[in-house]
Amino acid sequence: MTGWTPRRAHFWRLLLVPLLLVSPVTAPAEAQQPSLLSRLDASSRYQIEVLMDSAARLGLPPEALMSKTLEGISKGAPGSRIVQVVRRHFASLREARAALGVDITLDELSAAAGALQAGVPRTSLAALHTNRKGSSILMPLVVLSDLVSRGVPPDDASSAIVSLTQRGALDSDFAGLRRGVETDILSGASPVTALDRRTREFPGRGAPGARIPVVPTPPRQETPSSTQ
Amino acid sequence: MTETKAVALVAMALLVPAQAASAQLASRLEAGALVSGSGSGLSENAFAVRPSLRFDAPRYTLVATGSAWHLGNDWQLADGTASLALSSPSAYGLHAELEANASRIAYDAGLASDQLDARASVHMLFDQKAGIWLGGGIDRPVQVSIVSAVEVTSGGAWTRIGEATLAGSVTNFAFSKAGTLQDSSGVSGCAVSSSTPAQIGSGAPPGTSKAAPAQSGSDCQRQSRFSDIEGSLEWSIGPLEVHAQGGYRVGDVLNAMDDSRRWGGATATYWVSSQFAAVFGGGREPGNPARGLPARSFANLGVMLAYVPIPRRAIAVTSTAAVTVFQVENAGYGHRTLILRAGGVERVEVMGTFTDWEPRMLTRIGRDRWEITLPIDVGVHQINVRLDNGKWRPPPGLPAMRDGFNGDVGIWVVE
Repeated sequence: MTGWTPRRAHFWRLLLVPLLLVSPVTAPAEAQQPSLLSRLDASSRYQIEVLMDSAARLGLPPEALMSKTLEGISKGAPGSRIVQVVRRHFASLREARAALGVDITLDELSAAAGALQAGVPRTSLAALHTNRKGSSILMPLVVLSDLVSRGVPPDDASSAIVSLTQRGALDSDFAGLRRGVETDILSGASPVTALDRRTREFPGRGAPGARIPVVPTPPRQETPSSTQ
Repeated sequence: MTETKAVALVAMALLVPAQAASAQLASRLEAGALVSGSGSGLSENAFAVRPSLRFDAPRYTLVATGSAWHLGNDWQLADGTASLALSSPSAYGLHAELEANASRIAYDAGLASDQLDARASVHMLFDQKAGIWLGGGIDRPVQVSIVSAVEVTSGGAWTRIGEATLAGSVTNFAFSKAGTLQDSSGVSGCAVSSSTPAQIGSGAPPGTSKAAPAQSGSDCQRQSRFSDIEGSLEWSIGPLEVHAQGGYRVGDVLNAMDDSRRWGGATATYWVSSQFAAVFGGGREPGNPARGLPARSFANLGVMLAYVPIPRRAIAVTSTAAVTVFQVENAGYGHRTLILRAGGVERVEVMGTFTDWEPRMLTRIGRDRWEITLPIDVGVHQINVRLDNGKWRPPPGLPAMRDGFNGDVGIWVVE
């Protein structure tokens, strides 16, 4: 080969070896999500991408939809099911944004979307936000979703959590409430009884931060999403 | 091949982590001192080597153990045991276990005792945190003419408190044996032969029975009965596992001699790596009247080589594997170490928003501690764990919510 001297070969070796060594380290970080999405069938993948575009246009975090997609893939859900779940998550994010406005963090928005999907009424989210003006509603939302997943009807759980925020409950109080309800349920109490008992035990933290919510908790019959 | 060479070969084979060995194999080699009381018929002090081999499968366990004593200038094979334990699937918190053992104790070529044991037990679990069991069985001595089958009944309970497991049990032994002149049951005029087989099974230490002319054992039997009340504690502190136990024997003086009334001991296992542990311990064990074993003090030091899975605990704590503890430690530079406790499993994985939902396998440290260190940002994360390719579940202690895929996901607030 013309001009292919040992010196030139050495040069290319010096250039290529580091490139080869670096490429497997840097490539997966960027290629990871496309490779995971490629496990979806073409139709599902297209629908997910459309939803993510729509989310971005509405100022909602498309990464939340991507995360839900990846979760479904890793859990072995079929493509159609993943699309269904992501679509519902998108709708919940939009509804949470409408209920809470833009003055919340992405974590709070995601937690609120999760609570809505669990059946928590939208008005309860607004009540929480109003009651805890100035403080994060993340922990109340997390506990609210947890209570519903343990079998407490969404309306009962919402009423209890909203009531606690009115009474000035702190994040640690919500965490304690969740642990107490969990313990009672494991001991054989029904979820409703456990929540009722633990809520009554809460002494309240006095008037300073407590006030009547601006948006009241709606009556039960007006919440079609609740699971009765 | 001499016995010395055989012992050395077995010991070396167990110490080498053979690549061809099954992944479900564990071996253990201990060396230590045995100290018996004077007049027991055994050497008062002996150096003992005790290798063991264990094969665990989800529904059965095979164990082979042996020991060799160094007496004077000679090695001597002392005992050997082969065991098979079967476990049934769990239903409504209940499961059954069957166990069979064959063992031989040999003090020298002319003095040996064989025994076949069969035991059955029923276990009930309460939320993986406590349990009770009831069981019974037959121990059948062979070549020991003066002892009948031993009827064994037992029951106990255990509970887990934090990292510790507490257990208590009562085991009752009942068997017939030839009467002696010292018989407390009122039978008189019967005596056992002073021949050596009689000594090994007389219950009292060999040499203490007053010899009389031989008489048919069947003509002069008495019921022996005693009960052992035992308590034990297992405690895991990081890579260190401590097992301590103590007991009290209830029975008449022939079956529960003074030196076997109370006993206790402790063993510590320190896991240097996920497959290598140092074992050391000591204590006192009671005599075995059915086989003529005297009470002994012991001290041991050894190593344990474990292949996957590591042998389950002596107490059947769980039948359905579950994560019992979830902890997080800050590892610095934005990394966090997730620590899970799950016994009796071969594989533990975690995934969540912090891994882009890519499953990551944890590394086993010790018997049931699993760890992984990952870069995890401050904020709210969703997290799932799974055992042995089972269902993805939220870790214990975290709030959870429905994931939309017929399961739950843990919500983890990282601060």
